[in-house]
Amino acid sequence: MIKFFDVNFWIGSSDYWLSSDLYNDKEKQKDLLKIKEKLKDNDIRKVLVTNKLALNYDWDVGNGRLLNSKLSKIENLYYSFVLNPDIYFKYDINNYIKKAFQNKVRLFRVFPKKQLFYINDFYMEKIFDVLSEKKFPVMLDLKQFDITGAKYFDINVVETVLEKYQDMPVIMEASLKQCMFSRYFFPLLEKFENLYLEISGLLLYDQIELYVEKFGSDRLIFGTNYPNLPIEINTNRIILADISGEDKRNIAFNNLNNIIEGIEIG
Amino acid sequence: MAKISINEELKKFKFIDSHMHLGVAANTLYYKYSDDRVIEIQKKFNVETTICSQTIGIMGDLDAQIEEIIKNQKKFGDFIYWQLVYIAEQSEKSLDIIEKYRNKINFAGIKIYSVGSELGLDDKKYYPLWEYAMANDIVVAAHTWSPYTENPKQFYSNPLLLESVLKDFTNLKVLLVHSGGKADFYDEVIELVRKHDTLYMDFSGDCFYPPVFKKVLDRVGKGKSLFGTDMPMMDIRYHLSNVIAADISDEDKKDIFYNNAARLFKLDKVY
Repeated sequence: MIKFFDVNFWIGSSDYWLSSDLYNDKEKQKDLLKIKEKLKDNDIRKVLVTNKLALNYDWDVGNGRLLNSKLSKIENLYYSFVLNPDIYFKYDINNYIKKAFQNKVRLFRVFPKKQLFYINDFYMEKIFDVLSEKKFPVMLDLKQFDITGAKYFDINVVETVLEKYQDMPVIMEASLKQCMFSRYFFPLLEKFENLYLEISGLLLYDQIELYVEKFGSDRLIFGTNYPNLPIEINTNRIILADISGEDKRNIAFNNLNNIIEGIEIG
Repeated sequence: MAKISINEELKKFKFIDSHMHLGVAANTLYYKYSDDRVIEIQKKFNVETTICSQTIGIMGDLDAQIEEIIKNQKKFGDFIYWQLVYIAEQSEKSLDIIEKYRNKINFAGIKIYSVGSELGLDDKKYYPLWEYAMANDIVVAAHTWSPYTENPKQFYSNPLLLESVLKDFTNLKVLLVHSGGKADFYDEVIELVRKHDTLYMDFSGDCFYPPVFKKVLDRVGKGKSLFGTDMPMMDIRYHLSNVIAADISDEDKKDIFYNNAARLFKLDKVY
């Protein structure tokens, strides 16, 4: 049996309990049980959870609600925080990151197009300096660099981050249709060892197999992108993959686990 | 109750892929692409028959399409049934080729991609095709997509445009390839199919939404949903899981995976 560590599990939306105070404690408890069940049913032994509210409403409110939720009762559940340049003047960056780590945060995610900032601005550079020093992983969504809206991405901006912060593991997701984006990913994977690809939606035939053949299984990270995709779609893809058992275990669990264990919080 | 593994689940079924291609696309890096590997994967997952169109034909080269089909029919035999492409701007040539070759190959119908032609599915340039297909009882597989997407060209493939076509061609059999392609549009497509007996749905593409299969059964009935992959653009393993995860009986899954396509394409192998 393959066990999974999911880097891309979302909760919260405009109609979901974590975003709203409308629901009573009993209902919150029910939803908590549902999440636990879902993880168990799909052999997801560890998970990084992001709150959609932090993406769609306010990064700090969404992140904060995540910490104050009852999710902490789920064993092996960790948080990913949405990162925003506002941290620079709202908090002391070092303390903020240390405190986040103490609160089970193990990943930061960045959405510059959605939240309208430049990923290499003065504030973000200061934040990345600290994250890089601590080897704290950051997750980017390729679609956030689709300036034209026609899947023609601003890859130079991504390259700048990868080049400048080589101690910072960068996990790249592309939401959907990664099948089309190998021409962007191949040269980046060749050039930057700190780049990893999240697999949800590596849809092209044999795409996972061919990435493993070309770059090795240690460059791929398992993610479900739940609830945007059913969990089974991606767990089964790994189970049914034409790669060795060791490669499957690396992608499903070990690679992300190693990155997380490599954080040097100081 | 112990969870059944995906490998065990898949052993219960055999498959007809109602929508796949051979060939590549300009906007995608197909690292180490080969027709052989695409077919090898299909066979590995117990696909018994696959309904295929050559991408080179969809992109406009109708003669090269025939060359590829003849070559690949020799190589893959009865495993592949072929769809011949109709290009609206090359209407006469398309129909000539279809008429000439449909009895010489394993013919499964006609494929159209209206986005490539930048013509709506209700455009009059498709009328010669509708007439020909209806007169010869041929299934037309039409790429369909939601109009509520970022790409405005997909509006040409809005399946709801077929409403007016079906008033003039009441017995026209159309397979709505991708069924509109987006989960938030499926309800409208299901309603269209409910109103027209001659429409069918495949759920190939990049949308994975297992509840749709129950929705179709509840609202329209049996026989309407077909298993399709869109290989090599999509890997078959995603689509197998999409149907397996549906909250429907194994009998209904058998129909989706196999029987509905066997009946529609008259492959004479219902089980």
